[in-house]
Amino acid sequence: MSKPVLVIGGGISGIQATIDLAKHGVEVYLVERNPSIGGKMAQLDKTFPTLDCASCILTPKMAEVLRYNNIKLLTYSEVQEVKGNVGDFTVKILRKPRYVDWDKCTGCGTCTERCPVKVPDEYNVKLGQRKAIYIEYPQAVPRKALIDYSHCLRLNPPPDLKEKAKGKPLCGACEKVCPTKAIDYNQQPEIIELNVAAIILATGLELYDASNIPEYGYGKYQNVYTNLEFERIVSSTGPTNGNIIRRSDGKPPKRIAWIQCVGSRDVRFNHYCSAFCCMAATKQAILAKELLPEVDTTIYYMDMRAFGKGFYEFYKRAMTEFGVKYVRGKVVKITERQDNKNLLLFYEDTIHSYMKKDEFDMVVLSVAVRPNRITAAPVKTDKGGFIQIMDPYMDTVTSTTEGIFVIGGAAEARDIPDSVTMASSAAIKASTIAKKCVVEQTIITSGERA
Amino acid sequence: MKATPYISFKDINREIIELGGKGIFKCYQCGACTATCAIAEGMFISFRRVIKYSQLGLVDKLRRDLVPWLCNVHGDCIEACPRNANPCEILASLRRYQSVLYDWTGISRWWYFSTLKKKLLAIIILSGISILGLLSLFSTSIMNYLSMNIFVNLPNLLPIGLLIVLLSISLLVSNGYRMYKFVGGGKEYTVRFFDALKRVLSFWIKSENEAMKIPDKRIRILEHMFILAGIIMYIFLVLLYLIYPIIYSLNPYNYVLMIGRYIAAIMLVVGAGLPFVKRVSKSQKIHWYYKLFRHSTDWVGLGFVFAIGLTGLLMNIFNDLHIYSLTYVVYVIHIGIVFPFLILEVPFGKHNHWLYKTIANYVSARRGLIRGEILE
Repeated sequence: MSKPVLVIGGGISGIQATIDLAKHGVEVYLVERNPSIGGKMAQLDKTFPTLDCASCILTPKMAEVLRYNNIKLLTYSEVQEVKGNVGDFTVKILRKPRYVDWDKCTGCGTCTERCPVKVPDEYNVKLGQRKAIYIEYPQAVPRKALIDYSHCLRLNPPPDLKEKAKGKPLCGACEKVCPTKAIDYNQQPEIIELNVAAIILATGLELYDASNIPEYGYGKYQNVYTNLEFERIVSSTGPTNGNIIRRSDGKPPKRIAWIQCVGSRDVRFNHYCSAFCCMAATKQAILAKELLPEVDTTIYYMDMRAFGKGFYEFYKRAMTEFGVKYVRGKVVKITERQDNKNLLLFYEDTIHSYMKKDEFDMVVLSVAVRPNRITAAPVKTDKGGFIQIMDPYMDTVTSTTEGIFVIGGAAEARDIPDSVTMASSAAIKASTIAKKCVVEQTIITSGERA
Repeated sequence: MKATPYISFKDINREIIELGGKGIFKCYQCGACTATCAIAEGMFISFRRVIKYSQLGLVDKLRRDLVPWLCNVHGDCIEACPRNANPCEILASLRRYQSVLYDWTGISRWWYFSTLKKKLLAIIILSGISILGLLSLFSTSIMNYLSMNIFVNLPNLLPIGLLIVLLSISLLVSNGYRMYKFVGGGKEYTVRFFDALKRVLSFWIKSENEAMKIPDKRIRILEHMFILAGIIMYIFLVLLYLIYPIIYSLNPYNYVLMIGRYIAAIMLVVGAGLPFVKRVSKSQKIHWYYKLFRHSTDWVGLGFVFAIGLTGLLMNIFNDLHIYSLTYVVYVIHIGIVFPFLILEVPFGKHNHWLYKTIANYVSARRGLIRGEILE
């Protein structure tokens, strides 16, 4: 039997690599930091350029992960240490405590209804709310509840309540209602040590913090959104149930502006292009037009990078069929009107060649992306923090360390089709290594505390 | 519409870089410089476009554009530029290149593209000629009281001096006229003369007033104003002196002239000396404005003003201390500096910029490029 392969990161590329490896008959460990796999794609509403529903593509793939016996899913876990060489990597993985026995949990969600604590929701980019015991989102895989330690009244009570209780355990609402008695407040962090033949890094991207760019006033002006926030707003599973409304007054906007290259292609912040924002903004403008036909949508861009198949047609279609306006020019400053919280954009319209000012109800920033930092794996990173690849032409998935492959957004800013293609490519390379190796060790589970 | 028969391309980017526009290739035409500019806020202008003309080598279009002359080096664009191209430096280099294009003698081209050493050599040769010429006019030196008229035999010097001034002005004005023709002055005028004058004055007063509120910008504007006011005052005082020379030393008019000369000289020394010191200084506290690329012509231009101011000031001091022999020596040096200043610097160097700036402002105001009100 071949040695297992470790996939770090359960986004779309990690899922694809895992499934492909499993189909090759290789044992795979899929490690994900969040409670559920799915990654950034799970937060998207539609995909470009076909305007297909993102979760309709992703959810079957997520479910497929559970169907294979040779896939071991380790969600809510983090890789702490990677040692060794190709064919013989020793990996330490920290399984964070869920405080719910996932063997018993059925994902019914009764506990989440009863929980008294409300917390901003990470899945909805903190626009919505969840409870301290929660299932990340309805389509989560695995669909199991877990307790957020820092907000739970029982596990981490606020000091004033703790004094009142005088040593008695607080709350415990979830434990009372759980039909399968799955709640376990005494769960401890576990460390798992694995021996794997190859590692695939699919650690993905995170949004650049737009509040670092003071000119745009993100975080200061209520009606300025990031592109991921807008994606959640237009999504029917989002915090507003698919209604586009302004944060300041809850009214639907009449004019929405997208600002491209926010923090990307800018030597002050990130020098590289984020690759997908042009098409993503076009898609979001179309979605806004579909939801609110009267809305006036304008995209401020510098170069329209419609590089993929069907992208240029998609861009043309947005212009002609949906009436999305494109203005070439970089917005340098946004100011907020005091009376109605509308936003004023200052830019040079490079067609007419002079400075202009426009008023909008809502502004969406196409924020740059940054790679998630992975400190555990012994790989080299480039200037932007992306993991370096061996050869940009002939070997685009092998990192500088042999036996460690890098796919998806960890290597460069990519869109979904590219990420999936690379995932399959890395999977076959990893399975070649895995099949050459012989199993020496099985899992050692130690109960020691982290 | 008349079709252009052909468009001439010329690779001028190397020359622009030589003149200080290091970031010319970095620009990717986003327009952030225009959108953040306090001047562009009140005008229908684009700085991005002239940079594109230069990148493409469209010399004809660049020659026609008067936008570089409207830049006042406020420097907001430097912080806003996403490519770190430093639009201020590029525009300064375009101004230099344009003034090369406006000049018909070719001396401007030599002046801008030669090294500092060659420029200094030319200045020294010219000042040597002028000093020798001055000494040849020497008649008698009277050491017990000051009389420049007798010292240099004014009736002989005056026609020569007037000739030099006329030559300088005619070169300057002919270059200015060429600029006026190049930018298409007289065409596409939509605003009446007095209306344009009113607009341009109110616009600049408003915009410079805004800039004066910021301490960094205030000191820069004041330095510039000192130089400008000093030169204007000097010209005025010299003209006054030539028309009404001093006869009686106790005449109040004499004191007016004396105080005026002191003020003008101090203004020049301070206005040119302060930026000189700041530009040379290696201190980290110095504002970025003084750390911008400076072309050798800028140094020479500033040096001229400083030297003229300093010699003028020394002349006044020595005169008032009754050290007449030193006054004569400084006077000879003073003339030796003024002569190359008039022959080289005014028509071909940096000191013709005020004329080009005036023409650019006038033409753009007549064309209605000034909005009239500041964009909210």
